[in-house]
Amino acid sequence: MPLSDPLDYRDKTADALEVFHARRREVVGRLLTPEMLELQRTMREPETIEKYPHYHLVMNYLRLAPAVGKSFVYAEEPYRRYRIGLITQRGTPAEILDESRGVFDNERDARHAVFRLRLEHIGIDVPA
Amino acid sequence: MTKIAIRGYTSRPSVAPGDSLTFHVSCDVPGEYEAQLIRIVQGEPDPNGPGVKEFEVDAPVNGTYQGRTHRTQLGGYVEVPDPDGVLGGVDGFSVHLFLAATTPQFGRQGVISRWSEADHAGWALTIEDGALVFTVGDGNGATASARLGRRLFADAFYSVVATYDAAAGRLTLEQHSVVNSTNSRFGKVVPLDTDANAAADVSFTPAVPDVPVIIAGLAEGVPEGERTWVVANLNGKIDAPKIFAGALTDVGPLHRGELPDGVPALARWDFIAGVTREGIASDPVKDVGDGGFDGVCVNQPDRGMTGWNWDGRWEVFTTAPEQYGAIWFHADSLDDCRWPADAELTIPSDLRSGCYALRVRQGEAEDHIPFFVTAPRGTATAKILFLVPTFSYRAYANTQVVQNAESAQAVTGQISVLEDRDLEINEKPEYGLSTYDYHADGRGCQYSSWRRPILNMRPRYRHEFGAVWQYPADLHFTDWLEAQGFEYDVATDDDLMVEGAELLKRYNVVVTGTHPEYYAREMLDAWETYIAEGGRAMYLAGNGFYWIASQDPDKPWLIEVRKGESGDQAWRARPGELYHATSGERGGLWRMRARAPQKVFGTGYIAHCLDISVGYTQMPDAADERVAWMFEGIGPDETIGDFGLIGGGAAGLEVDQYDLTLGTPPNTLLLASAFGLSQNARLVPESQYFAHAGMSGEQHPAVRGDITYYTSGNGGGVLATSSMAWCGSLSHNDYDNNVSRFTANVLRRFAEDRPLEEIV
Repeated sequence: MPLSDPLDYRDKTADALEVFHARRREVVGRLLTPEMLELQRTMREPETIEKYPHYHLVMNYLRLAPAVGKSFVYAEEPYRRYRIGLITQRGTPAEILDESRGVFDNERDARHAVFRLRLEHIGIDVPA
Repeated sequence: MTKIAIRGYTSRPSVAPGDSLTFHVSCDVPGEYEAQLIRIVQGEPDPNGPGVKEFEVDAPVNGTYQGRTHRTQLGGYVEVPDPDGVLGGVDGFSVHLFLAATTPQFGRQGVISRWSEADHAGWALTIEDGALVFTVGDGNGATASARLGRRLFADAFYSVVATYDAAAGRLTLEQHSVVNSTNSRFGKVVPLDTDANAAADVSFTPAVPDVPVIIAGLAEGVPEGERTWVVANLNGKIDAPKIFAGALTDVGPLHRGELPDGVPALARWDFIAGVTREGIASDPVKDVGDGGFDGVCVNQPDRGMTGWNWDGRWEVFTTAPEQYGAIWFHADSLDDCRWPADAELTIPSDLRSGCYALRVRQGEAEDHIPFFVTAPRGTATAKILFLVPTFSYRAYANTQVVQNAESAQAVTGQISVLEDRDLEINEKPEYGLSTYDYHADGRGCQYSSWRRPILNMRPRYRHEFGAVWQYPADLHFTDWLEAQGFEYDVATDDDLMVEGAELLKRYNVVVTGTHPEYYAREMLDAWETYIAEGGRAMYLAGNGFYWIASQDPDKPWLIEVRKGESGDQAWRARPGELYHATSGERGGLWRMRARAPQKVFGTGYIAHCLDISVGYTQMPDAADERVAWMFEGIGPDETIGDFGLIGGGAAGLEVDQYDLTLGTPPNTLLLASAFGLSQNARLVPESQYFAHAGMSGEQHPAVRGDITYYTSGNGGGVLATSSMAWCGSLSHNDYDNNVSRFTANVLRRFAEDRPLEEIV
């Protein structure tokens, strides 16, 4: 039967991605430890990887999240005051989260908060 | 959130004493603003560094101005004047074209029209709800439309014919698929059933509004003044549009790309007409019929694009122009904001060469609008020239990578930090795109303009990639020059395009910016001539001379870049579309045109490493007595640059490698190499053949930055430090450090009149 309407056809990549993400999230959840969380906050990545060789599997998965909805560090006043934001569709204002989600005076702490938020977003229980 | 409420641009990047440039400013709230000329020396506010250094300069341009809010027309289209209404079609007409819509689902888009959207007058072929519609209107509320019942498949070529039979009072519309193996997203194996036709009765006489024909959009209304504003811009390719008098009944020849016998065209546009080996002019559109309805492109749609009949045998539009009749229009392209000038500055004769900006302030809102002042034309006022890479500034202008590319943070190896300027750029499309961004229809952006506010080319801005980048990074170097007491001139890539090697030859040494990545052939020629004839270069940079760029000969504020087939590429030109329209030259990497950067500068791009930076270990050549002068004050075991504002080291962001196989001169000394880059540091794609594991900074021996030195003939020579982060280490410890010392040793010697000792 010929193809007459493009709207009849969806991109089934979404099906494959659903399986992929379920598998990767299971791996990330399994690899994550409280010690790794603390190292992410305090140390540069090369040193963290030396202690946790699979650390980059966690980080790369979080970094490769889809752009829209991805959390980022918002430099409200660069070098002084940081908050958390969410990327939105091009052409729309970015979403800056309420101050109750965190206000930081340095990038490192703000990045750590984003790291934890990304884990939350993929349904992983983050140790306090 | 703090909004950007005032912004502007200059008419040109650089000026010499006696030259003039204009400033174009738009305020969100009309009202007075203050303008002040500023000399900028250092642009990074990092509290660990020397801080921003800028100085007010007396100038006639300083003062109070009345700020206005200016509208920016986005989107590429062709405008064809028709003041006599010949193409109005009231006696009946037919229009034919080939169309590949790239976002047919994006709402109403004009394909070709002679239509006023404000009062629904004239005729228009549009896409609505994914399907073609042909409409006429009398301007008094009466409209009639023929609407096809089959939607367009995206990125698939169709032949489209619309007719209006005035005597019969009837509209017809027909689409016919012309998909072949190569002209569309999919090929002939797909059993398409999208050919369709429709008709509608018309009980009125269509109006002939005082608007031009618009290809790829609709006139917003009858223009007030000279400017026609265009709305409903198209995303997609149009090829060979034409208009005939009367309603054609036999449209078969048109679907085959033939003209109907005995029916002269009122207008017949050939988008490739005028092509030469040097490319095709950006703006003119030729009517190759007898009507003389030549048009003009607005906002730089993509030219030299594969057309409806491209069969994949030929890959170059200059050699098979008959298959390159398409223009690819994008609803978000921009070549010039075209704002009126608020102020003009003629550079005083005594203004020293350097980096300047017009600071504009309105209440709390502030912008710095940068430009560069050269030495008086034809002269040098110092031995040292700092060549500002304004082509590369343009390539990165208003990048929105982090907010649109999911892979961006995997490249940078860090969670992104964004500031108001980043958010503003992504929110408001009128700032235009960079050559790192994609148009809304998925095509990479291949043109970038100076004539728009470039919010990421500002002092105090840290790039979305996580460090100062381009302009503010280059200000690390000017700060160091001033702190060390070196006298210098600046000139830009734009000056190099005009003056060539003669510009460089006025100086004993020429220093690059930190990331001169985008280069035109003329600029490379100038460098090579200069160095071969005894000039001296300091390449204090990483990833330089990498992508091929062309400057539009008619619009020099615009550059063209087509990425592919390999490289650290944000996007890839589609098959058959790698050649630049503005020059006719092959795009992509200089390496693929036998001009790897190693051949002139000693090293070339090998890895990105944006998370951490490292220092350099001295190699055996560092102990060579012939270069002892470079290492004065530096111990033989010292790591060079294991400190700095960028990632904590002098080797970082992007680094380059010595490689004899790619043309590093055989007499080159390998003075130092930086190892220890991280798991996120990666070998560039063009140096990967099989994509095997182990291509990171931890595992691959080529992922490193090399400091090299060679001497050319006639007392010339080249030092390469091969890292974008190098200049970020110059100010460490109040400028007292081995990066600063090494740089000063070399610069001082290179600036001397006597030739360099030859090293062979």
